[in-house]
Amino acid sequence: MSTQDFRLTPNQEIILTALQFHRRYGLEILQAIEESGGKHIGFNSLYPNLKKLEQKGFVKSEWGEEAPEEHTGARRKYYRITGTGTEALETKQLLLTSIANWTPEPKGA
Amino acid sequence: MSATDMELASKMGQFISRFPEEWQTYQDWLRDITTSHCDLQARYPTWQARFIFRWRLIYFFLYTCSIIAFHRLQHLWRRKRKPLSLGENENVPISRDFFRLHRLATIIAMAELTLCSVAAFTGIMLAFYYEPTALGAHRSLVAIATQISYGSLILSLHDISGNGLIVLALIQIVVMYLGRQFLVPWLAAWFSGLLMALAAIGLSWTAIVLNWDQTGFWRFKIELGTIASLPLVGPGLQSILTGGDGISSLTVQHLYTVHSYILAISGILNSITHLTALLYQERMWKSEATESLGRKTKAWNNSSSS
Repeated sequence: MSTQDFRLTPNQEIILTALQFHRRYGLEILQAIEESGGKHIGFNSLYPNLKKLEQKGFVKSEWGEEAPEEHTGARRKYYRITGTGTEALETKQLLLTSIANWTPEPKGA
Repeated sequence: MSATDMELASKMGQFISRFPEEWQTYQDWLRDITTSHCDLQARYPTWQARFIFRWRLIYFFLYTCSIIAFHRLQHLWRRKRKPLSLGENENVPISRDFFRLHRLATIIAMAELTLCSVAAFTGIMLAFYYEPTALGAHRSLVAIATQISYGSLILSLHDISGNGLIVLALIQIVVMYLGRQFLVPWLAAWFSGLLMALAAIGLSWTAIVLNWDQTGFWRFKIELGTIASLPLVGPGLQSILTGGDGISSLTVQHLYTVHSYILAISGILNSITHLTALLYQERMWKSEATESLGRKTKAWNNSSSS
């Protein structure tokens, strides 16, 4: 039995969904969510959540090939979903499906 | 993007890049903030784009700084548990942070002794003119403040040094608790520090009564009732303080004696004991560290010659 904690907050779920089929950098994740009509997430929520997802092992990060930004010298980082991350999303989907399918047991049964 | 915004982002980047661990983790955030500016300008009026951009930068900076501070505190906590190491096998039985706390405690103890000396000196100066009677106490203090040369200055110095002593004695209790060692010199310093804090508070309390103004008188009357209600010792303590059944000239004389002789001398003696114990402990640690280093050097010399 797996002891991995698959719990996701709503924002983490959306971020993980944005990474499901593509590796993306932070701003791209925001654009993907916003332009698909999803919930608005700010920078202030995105990066702390990405770090938490990385700590949990749901995403992996890697440096981009782009040159560092000319003024700040900051590099771009790409995030990619891991197998555990995919499993966490599937678990969430299963939970939603089982909630949708739940019916009360008939009385006196 | 305006040059000011760019300069701000650049400065923040330069500052955070001094902390490699956090810079590695969060530099992509800064990069995306600077990249997002074009998009902001396309969507919002200039002032609003600038506001959002700056807000993002400031939030990023504050967030990263709080992470940096948190990490530094974690490092400090880990180092506190790690002994001061002089080599692989030779450890001095104290940690760096204990030593720093101890040095701070010694500095505070020196400041306390200085304040005690100032309070004692100014107290002696005031005693030349102070009249410890019910009728004369307040009048003499007013005369000191208004008629005697430098009287106001001496009175203020006495007041400031007394209050400063209380503040330092309380800070010292916290500092000594953080650097607790449970060795004989530390225990001597700890108890003398506590007694000194109590003496300083007692001096402050008796000084209020010695003013003999309305506030001091009524406050003393109320507090005397509280003291008298203490089981067993209460009535005795009340009669010692008042010198009889009620508050009178004798009360002022008694409190003057308690203030100027018992508490003041106790404060000075405790302050000297406190500083001496701390200096002794520091010397003990230094000799241990030197011996440990000497043993290590000797071992190293032996191994290199063979």
